[in-house]
Amino acid sequence: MRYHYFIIFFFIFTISCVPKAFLLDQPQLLSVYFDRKIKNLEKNDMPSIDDQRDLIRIKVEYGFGVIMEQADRLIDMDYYSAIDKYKEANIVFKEARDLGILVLNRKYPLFDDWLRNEAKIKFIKNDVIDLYWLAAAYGGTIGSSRGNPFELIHLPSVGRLLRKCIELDPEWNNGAIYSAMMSFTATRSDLSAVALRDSVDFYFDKAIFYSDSLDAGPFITYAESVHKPYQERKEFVDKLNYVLDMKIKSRSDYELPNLIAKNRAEWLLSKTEEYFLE
Amino acid sequence: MKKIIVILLLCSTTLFARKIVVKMGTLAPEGTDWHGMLIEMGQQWKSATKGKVQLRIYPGGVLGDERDMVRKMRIGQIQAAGMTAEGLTEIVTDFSCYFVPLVYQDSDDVNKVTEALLPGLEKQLEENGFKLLYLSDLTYAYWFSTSLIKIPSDLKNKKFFTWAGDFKWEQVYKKAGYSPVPLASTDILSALQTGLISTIPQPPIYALAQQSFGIADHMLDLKWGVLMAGIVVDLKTWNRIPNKYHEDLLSIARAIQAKYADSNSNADRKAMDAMKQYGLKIHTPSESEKALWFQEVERVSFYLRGKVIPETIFDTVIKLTQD
Repeated sequence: MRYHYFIIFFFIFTISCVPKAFLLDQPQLLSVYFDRKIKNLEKNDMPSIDDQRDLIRIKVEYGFGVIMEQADRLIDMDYYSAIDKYKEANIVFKEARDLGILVLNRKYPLFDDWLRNEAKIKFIKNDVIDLYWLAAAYGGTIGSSRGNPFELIHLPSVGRLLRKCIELDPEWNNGAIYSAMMSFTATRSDLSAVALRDSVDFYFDKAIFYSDSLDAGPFITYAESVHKPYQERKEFVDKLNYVLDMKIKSRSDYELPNLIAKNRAEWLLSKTEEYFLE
Repeated sequence: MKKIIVILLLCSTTLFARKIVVKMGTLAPEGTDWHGMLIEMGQQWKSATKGKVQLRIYPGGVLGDERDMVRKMRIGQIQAAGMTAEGLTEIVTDFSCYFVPLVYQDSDDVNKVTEALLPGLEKQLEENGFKLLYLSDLTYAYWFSTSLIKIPSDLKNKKFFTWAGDFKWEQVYKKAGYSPVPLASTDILSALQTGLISTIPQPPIYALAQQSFGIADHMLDLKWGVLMAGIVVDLKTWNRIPNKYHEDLLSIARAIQAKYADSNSNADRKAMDAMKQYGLKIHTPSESEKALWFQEVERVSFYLRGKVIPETIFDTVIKLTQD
């Protein structure tokens, strides 16, 4: 039950569209920025499919990139405030998830059944965007639910959605699906330790390959979802230091996600003593 | 001379003011309410002791099984553990009082036994170097299996999970004609997946959270056993904490446990309902089937009493729960 690892990947990946200055220096303004964007999109009584896609994406970004991140950093200091934040994130993720299902149901009336493995659908490459963001919304709902079994029961749906994405377009968004698969695989309790490790390694290699080693996200995900639970302190520190040493090319696709990854790496390194027994 | 006294006083003040870091292991998965309960307790402890006592939690079994945690406490690697009665029996055998099958059907049964035996259990724990902060019933275990189990003879054909390292239980089951497979709790799912085991007694909420019901998709609706859990602290560490804080720390631990017990009370039934929607088949035994199970437990008692569960403890449990 290591579903909280969802947070790690999706946080780093989803935030890439946000202006840097907001994100890095003004977390409160960042909340206002998202809030306004969401309200503007929700004002529209007749939203187009693209508006709905934007709304799903922005809610997921807001949930992972702002609310969950605040909750994660708060929990060691103020448990009750952190729990309130998780609840807030859960509402946002559920809205995104329900809208995601609605969008796919409209296109494929058997989608609900497909999700339960009770029907077959012939998806097309262009569906990846909807399937991926729905997986992200499900991941967020599960992660923010604090182990609520009625959310956890949807965990296999995340795997099903991501596997379908890989089948349709493995290269999508510079290997983003493989990075997400790393997080998902790390949550699986049906794999033995060896099988889990092998699977995460496989997705890690793919994510690195498709991103040409330029994305810091998979390194952070690996440190948090493998080295930390396996109590591999040296490797944990090495991976995070690697991220800190990465050179960031300005105006590249990875500029902002990698800045955020560095920020998280620094925070994680500051927690090393707490995470490892030896 | 005055200088020496001042230096000594300064040293003792520094020593007294030093933080006590309590490292605690637990199988409770990170990010769940069970883990949250410990975080909450740690923060309240910190506040009650003005930062002198700090709890550092290692969740999700990252320190190994409960037996590993007991070993780590004994060698001073960690100072506390949140664990089930299974781990507690590693320290005091009499915690096996909670292992008598089928006798615990509700909280009243558990409370009767706990009220009668807890003082003795606490005393034995202290003699073994541990302080019990609280003990409570978490939930009940039911049989989950890959094919239908209705009566004891169905179970006899199945390979089922028992705790690794507990050779006594393994022998009991074998002598009684069953096929137990000792495993670490962290290997249960892969064992179900590979067919090494086909059956496991576990709480519904755990089956749901671990998604094991996707493989073991039959459940016998009969409370096989109670799952007790508690927190123990290494006594040397506990005694290093100034006495004036002891009562507060205990009250905090118990109040938080009570709060979570309330919110968990219906969780099992809700979990069963949720799993049913996803394919879990629940078999409610008839009265005659139930009778067969009780007869079987009586037969197996011969192998339990005095062998796994001390005779006096076994008899006390039977007497208290039958009253």
